[in-house]
Amino acid sequence: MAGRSSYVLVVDDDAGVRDVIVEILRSEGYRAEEARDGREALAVMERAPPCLLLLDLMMPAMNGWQVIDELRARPAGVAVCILTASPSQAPAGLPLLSKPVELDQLLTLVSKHYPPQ
Amino acid sequence: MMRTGALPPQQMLTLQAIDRVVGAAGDAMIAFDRDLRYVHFSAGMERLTGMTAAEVLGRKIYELFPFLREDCERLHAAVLRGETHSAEGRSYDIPETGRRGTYDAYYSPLFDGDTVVAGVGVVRDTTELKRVRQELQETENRFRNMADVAPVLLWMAGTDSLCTFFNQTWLDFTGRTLEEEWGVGWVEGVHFEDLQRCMDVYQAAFGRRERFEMEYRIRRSDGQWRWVLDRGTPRYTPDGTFAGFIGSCADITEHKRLEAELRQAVQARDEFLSIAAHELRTPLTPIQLGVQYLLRSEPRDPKVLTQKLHKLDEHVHRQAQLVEKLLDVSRLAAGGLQLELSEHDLDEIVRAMLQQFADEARRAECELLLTSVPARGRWDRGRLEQIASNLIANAIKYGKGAPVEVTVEPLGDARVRLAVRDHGIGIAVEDQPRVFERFARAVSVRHFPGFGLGLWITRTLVEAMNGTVVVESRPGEGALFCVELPCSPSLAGVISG
Repeated sequence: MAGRSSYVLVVDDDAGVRDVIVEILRSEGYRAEEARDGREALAVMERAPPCLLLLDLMMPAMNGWQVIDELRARPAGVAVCILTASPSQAPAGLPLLSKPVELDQLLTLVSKHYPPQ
Repeated sequence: MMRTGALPPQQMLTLQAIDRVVGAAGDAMIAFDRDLRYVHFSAGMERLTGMTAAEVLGRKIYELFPFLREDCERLHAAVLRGETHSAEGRSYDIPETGRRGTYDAYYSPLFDGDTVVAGVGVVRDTTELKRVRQELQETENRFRNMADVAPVLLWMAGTDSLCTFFNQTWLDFTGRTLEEEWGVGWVEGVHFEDLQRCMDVYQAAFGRRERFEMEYRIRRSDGQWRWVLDRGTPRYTPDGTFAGFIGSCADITEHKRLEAELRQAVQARDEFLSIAAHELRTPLTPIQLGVQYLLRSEPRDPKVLTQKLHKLDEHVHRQAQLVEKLLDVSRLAAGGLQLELSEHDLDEIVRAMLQQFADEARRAECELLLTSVPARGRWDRGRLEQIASNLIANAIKYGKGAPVEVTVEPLGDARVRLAVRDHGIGIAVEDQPRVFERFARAVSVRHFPGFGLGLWITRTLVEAMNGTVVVESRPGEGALFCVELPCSPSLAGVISG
């Protein structure tokens, strides 16, 4: 897990979605941060790359597809999971959390990527 | 039986030989001497006239058939002078048979050395041929009459693929003459973008003698390009010989326009459904995760539980509002929405709306600035709130965190103006006319999710209150939306769909 910080970054333009996921993850003892769009997410990751990026697709300023392009151009070894209400538009090859999200799926995914404390 | 008499034996033999040939061809034959007396009368003549050779031989032609007197004086006499003549299509009533018939006759002199000794005539009964020709002409006339009054454009082409016929409907449609359209002339009216394809299909179908169907644009007499559906079929004579093609064209311009509109409508509906699914799933996420986490964590503290339920209630409320918005759209689209007009102050309504948006604006780091004076009028309060809310929500959504300026002011002519200005991404000039259309969006859904309905709803409501809404914008320089409403809409009532 070298080079990855132990936190999950939740990127979504919907405050309701961000709030509930961050709150659950923190209650479960994980560190979680949030960003409103792709640009904010890249700024947060600049400081310290997360162990897992939960990434919405449709967002203002910089959308999820653009974030993925950025990450491919500058690989930082961040695990990405798409968090979307339009699963048919999700890029292939990446794990997917389809909205409305199942709690079990969310927790299983995070536990898989979160480094043991 | 003796059909020939009063001629030298050599000529008699000649006449008998001719008679055999002529008889075999189904024709009749006569010969007459220099006194115009019958010297030969074939079996065919007996059938035509109902008289026997024995009765006529040695008698003068016009004594037997008075109606031939004129012919005798002119034609027969000329033949006896050594000339060849013919008389075609003559109609006579034959008294002996009581029949009226039509006949062709061909006359030639019969020589003995240099001397004309007799005239020979071959007579052909063309009564039946004439009848068939007449019928054919009638059929042809009937076809042309029908073709000319038919509501479709008809054409015919010969075996060489050149057009030989266009009905009056075609000529009226293109405003050209038959001479202009003739052959390949009609091609001049075909749109140049369709011409090559049109000729390829036409020539290929001709080559294979197969039916064809093609669509192309043709210039109407008023200069407009019209789409036609052209269907061609090979035609054959009764004995199976290829005779060319016949075809009809129907004007399908209107049909095509409706088809395109329908396709667009279906596409817009599908896009809307997929966006609606996205928009409804998003607020469902905090509800589902919230409920599932409550079930899992079983909080003991009633205060924590109440707090979490309140939050869930907010999300449920938001979801219900979204569903309500969708239903409202379908009501607006269906028409028949009733306005409830009463006395209100637009200034007060807008102040209240800005209060409601305070949290959202703070989250977007967007300052809401109001310049407003009281502006009273008779409006539907709920609908006015919706108008203000849509414009303010858009200004925050697309405003890039810059201040949003809202102005309410009375205008001089019993009208009021609500203006909402943002300093965000702006709208390209070419996109401005369509931002007020249903499901229209000037920006990618990948960046700005949403139904694409807010401005359409706004326009529909503003117009229902006899008002106008316009936009001024440049990309990157924000947008100004101006609503102007009469203080007392004269048409209090029904919104038409």
